[in-house]
Amino acid sequence: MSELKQTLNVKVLFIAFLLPIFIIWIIDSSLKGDFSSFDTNDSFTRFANATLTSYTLGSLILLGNLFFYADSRKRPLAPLIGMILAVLIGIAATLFLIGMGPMLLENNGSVRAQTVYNLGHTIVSFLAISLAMVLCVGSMFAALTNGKKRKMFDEEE
Amino acid sequence: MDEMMNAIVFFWLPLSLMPLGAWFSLSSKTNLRTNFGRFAAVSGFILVCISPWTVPTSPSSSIGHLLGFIIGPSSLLLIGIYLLIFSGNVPVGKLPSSDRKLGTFCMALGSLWFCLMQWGEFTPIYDGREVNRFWLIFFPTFILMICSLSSVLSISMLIIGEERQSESMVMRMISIVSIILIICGLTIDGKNISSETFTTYFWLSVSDLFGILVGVSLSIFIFGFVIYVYERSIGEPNSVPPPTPEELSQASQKIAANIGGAESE
Repeated sequence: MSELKQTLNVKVLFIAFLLPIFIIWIIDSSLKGDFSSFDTNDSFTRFANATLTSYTLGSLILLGNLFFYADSRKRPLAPLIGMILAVLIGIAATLFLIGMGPMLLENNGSVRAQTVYNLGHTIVSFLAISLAMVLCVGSMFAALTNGKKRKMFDEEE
Repeated sequence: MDEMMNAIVFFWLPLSLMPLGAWFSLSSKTNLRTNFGRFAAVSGFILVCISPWTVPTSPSSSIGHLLGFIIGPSSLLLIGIYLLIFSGNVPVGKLPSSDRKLGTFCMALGSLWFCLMQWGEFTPIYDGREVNRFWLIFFPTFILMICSLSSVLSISMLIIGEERQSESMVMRMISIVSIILIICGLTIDGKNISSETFTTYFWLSVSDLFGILVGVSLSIFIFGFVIYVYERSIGEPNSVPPPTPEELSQASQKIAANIGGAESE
């Protein structure tokens, strides 16, 4: 497959991901008669909190994954320190940005309450995303296996 | 114990036991350690599920409450998918084709259960007063992800597969049904959840989804970068000397002894 076609395919898949959201937005706006169903301030706050928390949690999971990598090497310390640093930067950035003021606080009174809420929120979102992924990929396989049986190769005479 | 300590001991510690136990059981090579990992993960799950009783004052215990509520429909959906996949044309582990009906029934019942939780009487009400706020996050994210992902899979089957129009149509139908459900949520009030509440949480879940995608991509990029920098710093591995004539002859003997086989008549 040529590089151009591959790039095009990725773009098509990205559009396919966004298309249902746009359709819902257009239908919702048409039914309600305005384009302001969502609050941009709240949406930005949620986006920023989700980014920071999922980055930190993702780095923490990948830090655990480094142990599998270390098994295939002579247990190097450098990547371990690198990932610990990445996790610490994530935690520090989260605490610093939440502590800056009301920008990232969502109906929570303190930095600690917001951090704990972010953790819980991201865990629940991860759970929903994982379940949806299993169901979608499973449905795809179910559609593939329940289709007509295909002959892959011509049988030898 | 104060409130915070209670939450740590009865909620956050069991919650961290779940991934740790799973990781321990997957990475261990001995049966004892694998079983210990499984036991830790299951114990953690049970303790999180009973956290509304052990730490009722902590807001985090709403997650345990939500887990208890969604375990039924989620299990039905997962069992249904398993039965549907393995009752089809699979080379190994094929189930009887009658299981397809049971799988479809489980899927329909699981979906109906989730719909009743959103619009009917089965909504997770925490502490007998208000709707569990984590349910308001879970359901929009779940349905939005199904909607977008099935759309991606539908297109990818057309791009990558050959003559997969009918399978692509199935995925497109799932995406359309999800869109209809979301539109219903945005316009129809449920018994306990109004359409305004769903609208607010739905658009927040869109932001949430993009935030998670950006955050996870960033962490994977950092991980790849750390590995790349380390691999570059260790330099080229030492070259192995070429094989000697004795080693070559030994290898030829081994190859000659292992290829060929009996002629078929």
